[in-house]
Amino acid sequence: MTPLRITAREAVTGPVLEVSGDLDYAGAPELRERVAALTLRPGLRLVLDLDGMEFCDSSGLTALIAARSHAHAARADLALAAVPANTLRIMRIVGLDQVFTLHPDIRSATTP
Amino acid sequence: MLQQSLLPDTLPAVPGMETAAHYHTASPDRLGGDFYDVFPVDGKRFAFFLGDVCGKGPQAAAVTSLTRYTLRAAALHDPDPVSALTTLNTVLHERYAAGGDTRYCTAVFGTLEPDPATGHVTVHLASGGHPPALVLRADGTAAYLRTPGGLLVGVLPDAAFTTATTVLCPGDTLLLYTDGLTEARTGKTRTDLYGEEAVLAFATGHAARAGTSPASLVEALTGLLAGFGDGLDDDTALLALGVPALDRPTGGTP
Repeated sequence: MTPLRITAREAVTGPVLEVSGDLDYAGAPELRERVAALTLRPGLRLVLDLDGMEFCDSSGLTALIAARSHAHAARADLALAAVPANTLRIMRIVGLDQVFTLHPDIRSATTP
Repeated sequence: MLQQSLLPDTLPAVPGMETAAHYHTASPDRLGGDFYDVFPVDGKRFAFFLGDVCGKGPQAAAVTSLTRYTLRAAALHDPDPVSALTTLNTVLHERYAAGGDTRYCTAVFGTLEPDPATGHVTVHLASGGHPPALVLRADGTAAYLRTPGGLLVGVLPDAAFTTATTVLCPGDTLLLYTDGLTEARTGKTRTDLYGEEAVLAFATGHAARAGTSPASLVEALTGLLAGFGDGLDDDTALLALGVPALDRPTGGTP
């Protein structure tokens, strides 16, 4: 078990949150708060870099969905970068791979 | 127990079919959100559903209750599987996600249409974000009835649900389950899971030893779930619907 760590930075496309550790019942509220605190402008892309995410449960998926809703409410986009294989497997089962914009790595996610 | 009130006391007799179900509670003091039901929708068809509400506790139980009643009411209005799931999606989305409190479930909803002349039962089903149903055939083979792309129910205002159809002949059984079964941990790490392939192998192994009846399959899987011990940290619901084999009695279902 690894505690969630979220690091924020700016890319040319918009804000990037690097998520590492466990996005679970304990960690998901923090991601929700961090995303809710972001001011997004129309046309910006919020990127969640999940390369360092070790675990994601249903609470974590809910937080990712909430991030998408937050971005769309501001007429901004949300992209997920480097979704780990075990989470991608779950996303395919529950159909979320069709809902999220997925990028294989942070470089393509932050390319305008 | 509230959980008990969220499940049917007994499954109704479905003419020409056998049914069996089981609910495995991983933690007695935490309400789970798995659910299932079987009920008649008109003179010739029955409907069934099984699913899993995200989360635990009283709030998840409220979603489970709303889900069950919505699916039952929707099916009486229009038993088409996609229509039923679409109605549920609208109800959950308006009740929860639209207010910022996203709550969702995975669900399979289907209809059973027996053909009295042949004894065959046509199954139409749709899935929203749920693991694939397993069909165990009379000859002991098994395959998943895949429904890729169906989305979690309640997440988005417009959701796509994926349909599948199969025909059950004498000795065939359709198994629905929640992901407590496939996601049970079998190793030391959180990513060492039992998995779809193992479930398939278990079902065919069971069929070779003990046949394909719903009751025997659910009984065997109940034993499997108990054997997972601490590896099973999620509730698991099982629902098996089968057509009795020709060479044995119908097990009390008229």
